[in-house]
Amino acid sequence: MQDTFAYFLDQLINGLTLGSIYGLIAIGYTMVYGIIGMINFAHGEIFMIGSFVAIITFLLLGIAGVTWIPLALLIVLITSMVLTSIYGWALERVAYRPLRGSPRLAALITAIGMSIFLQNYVQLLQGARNKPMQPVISGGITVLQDQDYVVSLSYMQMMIIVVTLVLMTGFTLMIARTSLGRAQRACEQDRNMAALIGVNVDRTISLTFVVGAALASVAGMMFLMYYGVIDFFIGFLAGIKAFTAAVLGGIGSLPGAMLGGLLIGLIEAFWSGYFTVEYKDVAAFSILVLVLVFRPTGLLGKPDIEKV
Amino acid sequence: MTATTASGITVRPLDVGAMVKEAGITALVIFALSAALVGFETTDIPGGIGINTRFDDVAVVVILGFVGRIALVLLRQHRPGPVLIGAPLMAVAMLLMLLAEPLFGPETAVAIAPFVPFQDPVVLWGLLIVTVIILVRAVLSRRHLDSEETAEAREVRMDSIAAQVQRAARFLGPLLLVLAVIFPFMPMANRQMLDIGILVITYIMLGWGLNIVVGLAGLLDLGYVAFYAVGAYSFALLATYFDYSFWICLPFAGLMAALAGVILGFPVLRLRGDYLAIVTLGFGEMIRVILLNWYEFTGGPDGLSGIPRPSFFGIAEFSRRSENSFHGMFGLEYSSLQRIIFLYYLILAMAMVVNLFTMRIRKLPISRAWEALREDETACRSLGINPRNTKLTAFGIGAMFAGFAGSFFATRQGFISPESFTFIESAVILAIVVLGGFGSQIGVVVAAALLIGLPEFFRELQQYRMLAFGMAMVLIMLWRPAGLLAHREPTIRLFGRGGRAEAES
Amino acid sequence: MSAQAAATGDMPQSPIPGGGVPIITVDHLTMRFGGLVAIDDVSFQAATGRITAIIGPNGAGKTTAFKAVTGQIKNHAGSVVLQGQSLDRLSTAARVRAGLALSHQIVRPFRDMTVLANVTLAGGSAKTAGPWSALFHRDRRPEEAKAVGILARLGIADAAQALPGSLPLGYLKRLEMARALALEPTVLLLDEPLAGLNHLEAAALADTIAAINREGTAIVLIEHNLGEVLRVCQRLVVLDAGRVIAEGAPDRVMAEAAVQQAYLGRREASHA
Repeated sequence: MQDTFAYFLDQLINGLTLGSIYGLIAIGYTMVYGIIGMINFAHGEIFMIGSFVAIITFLLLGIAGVTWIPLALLIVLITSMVLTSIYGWALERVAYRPLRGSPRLAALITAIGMSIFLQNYVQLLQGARNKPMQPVISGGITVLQDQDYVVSLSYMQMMIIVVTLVLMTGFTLMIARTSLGRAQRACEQDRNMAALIGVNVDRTISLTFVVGAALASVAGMMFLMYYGVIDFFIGFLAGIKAFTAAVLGGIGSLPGAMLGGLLIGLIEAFWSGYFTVEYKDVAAFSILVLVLVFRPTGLLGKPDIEKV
Repeated sequence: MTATTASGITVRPLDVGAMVKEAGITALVIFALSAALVGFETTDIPGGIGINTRFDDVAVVVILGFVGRIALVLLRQHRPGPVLIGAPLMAVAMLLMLLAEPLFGPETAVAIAPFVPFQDPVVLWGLLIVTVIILVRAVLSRRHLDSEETAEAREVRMDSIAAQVQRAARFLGPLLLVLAVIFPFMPMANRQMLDIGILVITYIMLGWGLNIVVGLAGLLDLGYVAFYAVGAYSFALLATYFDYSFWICLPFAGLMAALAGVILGFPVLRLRGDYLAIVTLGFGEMIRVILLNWYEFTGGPDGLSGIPRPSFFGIAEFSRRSENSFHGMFGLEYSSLQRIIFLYYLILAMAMVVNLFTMRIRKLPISRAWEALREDETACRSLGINPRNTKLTAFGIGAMFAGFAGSFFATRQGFISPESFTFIESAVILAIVVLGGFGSQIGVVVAAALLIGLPEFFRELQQYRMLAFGMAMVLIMLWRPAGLLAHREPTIRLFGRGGRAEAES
Repeated sequence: MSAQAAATGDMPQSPIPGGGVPIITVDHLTMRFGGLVAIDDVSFQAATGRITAIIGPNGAGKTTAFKAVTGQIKNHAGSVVLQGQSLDRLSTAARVRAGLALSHQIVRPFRDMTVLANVTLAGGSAKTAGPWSALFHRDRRPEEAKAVGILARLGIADAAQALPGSLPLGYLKRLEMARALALEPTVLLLDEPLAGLNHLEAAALADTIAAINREGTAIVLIEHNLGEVLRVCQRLVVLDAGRVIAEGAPDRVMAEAAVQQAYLGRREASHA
């Protein structure tokens, strides 16, 4: 069975779906690293908070009787993006901004502290148990049938891939065309100089966190809908894998983050499909180590510049 | 109208509008942050999850945020007056709510219960502490109108405090050691106390071990628990498969952990600090996943059980029926406490070995090389220091001590499973080192006692433990990134100890 | 010096030596690094339509003073007032938006952007101030047109599409200035704009600076090229070891013994 094309296609679809989610989270890591040169370790927690805001909104919509699914999805999407991005903003404002100009390790330890804090904050408020949710979108189309092995593409998977494509296109345009994107590039290269030509550096960095958190919250919402269950700990593994994706693609590079996300998703899916499910995390970690040791600039990255 | 006080601080006229606006924005942000996660609670109901509301809690945190921000603005503008009145009132109100039952009896407590915010009194206690801190700041700012000291001045002041603590540590250290030694014979030392003591000392030992890597060599290791795990598993496997005794397995376990440290460290130690941290985290998780899935060898999630307990240096056993039993040898009554006390002294001795080793190595050239590497790697290369080998030494030594601690953990528990070696453990050990002030030995002791011991005594605090860890790590980094009790002692003095005082004056 | 500082402090609108109405007033600026006092109680003013030159030996604190004025480093005492507005509590970016611009001695272009993009970015930087304009401001043809004009004026229009990394220093110095000009400042701070240029280029750029100045921009200039300084500037401030030792019309200042000794004397001695 493993050697059929149908099986391969199945893993490919799974990998692309998973990779889309990783890619959306990875953008947050890579943007923040690009602009202030720190690993925002708490970014995985932002993703987790996004999924919790989404599940709460879904439940409330259920109580309110909103049954038209497109409307419900839109409301959840907007609520989750807005509330989660405020978490992103507050995280930067409270924990990272006072540390600007401190050594990298101080910033990293703060980020780890925030990650532990946010995890336990959600655990205390929402409980430690799994939070299951009924599938919102069901059904799909059959892509290929090989004897009795059916490869299907669910509407859910389609939605994830389409939403990711739309968001990433919009996001790329934003970076290329808006003042924010230009200001970000200026800050990446020389923060002091950017301030000297009137770029509001603090606000640019804040907006970077807001945008990153908004994308992560969409990932959180789709994770919830795809797997149907979340808990307060999902941010840890998803965060590390998304960070791996960002490193693989070349940290600081936006197309790199998207590419890296897809690759990590595919590697994980194929590893699970052809080798063992148990060691899929080891595969991801090994890639992280190998990339950092042999090609720290990643696939599309630029040579490292000292920052912070 | 601008008034200038005698101390030269300008007190500007209070802009009430701006103050309310600032506090209003804070309240708005807090509302947005708490609306979903605090306002609604997902609960388990049959066949799915339901939802509860906690709007009252949202209202309370928003109001507190507003009031708190106003207090901070007033303090910033050197107008502590309203804070001096408001904060004590709030503190008293909170205390009355918290202590309603012992003070006024259960009827009153039940009567006011609907007006007391938050289900868990711990939250209210936390808010009370914050209120008291604001009050203290207000009192201080009233006394010398100088709450806005510069970062430099604060750094100097904190450094001198840290220096005093370190000087005190010279007397405090031996004193603490004596206390630790006589502790098992104190009347209060029951089984539970001894267990907590063992736990705290284990973490002190781990903290000291990690301190070599993080504090002295400046390498942030987020996977330290991996070496703890390697030590524990090496010990457990050697002891159960080959039936070797604790005293033979212990050095082996330490060596295995050190070897693991060197093998893992070799390829990655040339990475820059934050990358290294993430890679070590990856290694830690990899080792855990392998332990979890290598069923034939490690027992997978079931772990390894039946790990032999340590003997009395191979001479006597701690069991009721044994040919050469400990109580028989010394003519004592049998007590299960004897083994606990032995374990206590064992870990104390092991921890002291780490401590002595660290004190010793600080005076050796390798420690100076670490210190130099922390500052500037390129410069070190040109001085002929081999950065990789130097770092590898620190990494290996740290790993070895973790391995020793791991063996102790295995023999004490008699059972190990991958669950004991999660990232959270690494984070806890790191929090101890960070809180104690990188490189400070006594700081690690204080931090371990606070972070490990305190929640053991107050079980209600247990669930808030990690929350507090996270918050403490952030606050300390914001307040003093070098570590709370970090103090730079010159490694070499030109004129011996007395010389510095002259140079300073 | 203290008498003069007191006088200017009391009557900020009075004409200052060298003529003109002061537009920026730097008052009792003090800056310490640890125990070292880099600038010590420095006061000076610059006026609309005038070029003020700050001269002094290396290490006198000239660049440090500029950094404190633009808020890149925080001064320990003193104040900066631009057009009656105190800049003391503002961030660098806010000071720039209030009308300051600085061109560095050591060029700092954004190396991943073309020359034109560098200047356009500066022209449109005000749009990053608010989150909405930052996200939704897209049309930048006006800024680009302005940038092209500035490049042409400084004579580097031919390099508009080049990346800074490939250009010679003469171009980069002018790019540095072009970027500052794109901000349309009321006060332009130039830190050694002529250093690294050859004789002809320096003279041409000095002429351009004078022309910009005549259009109404107040200019404060740090420069070692005394020939050009004395040719174009109307006011001189001499710094030595962090203190102002002389201030006023160039011919009068250059005649002062203290200046000759501290500045020229030492210089000649080191050249000899």
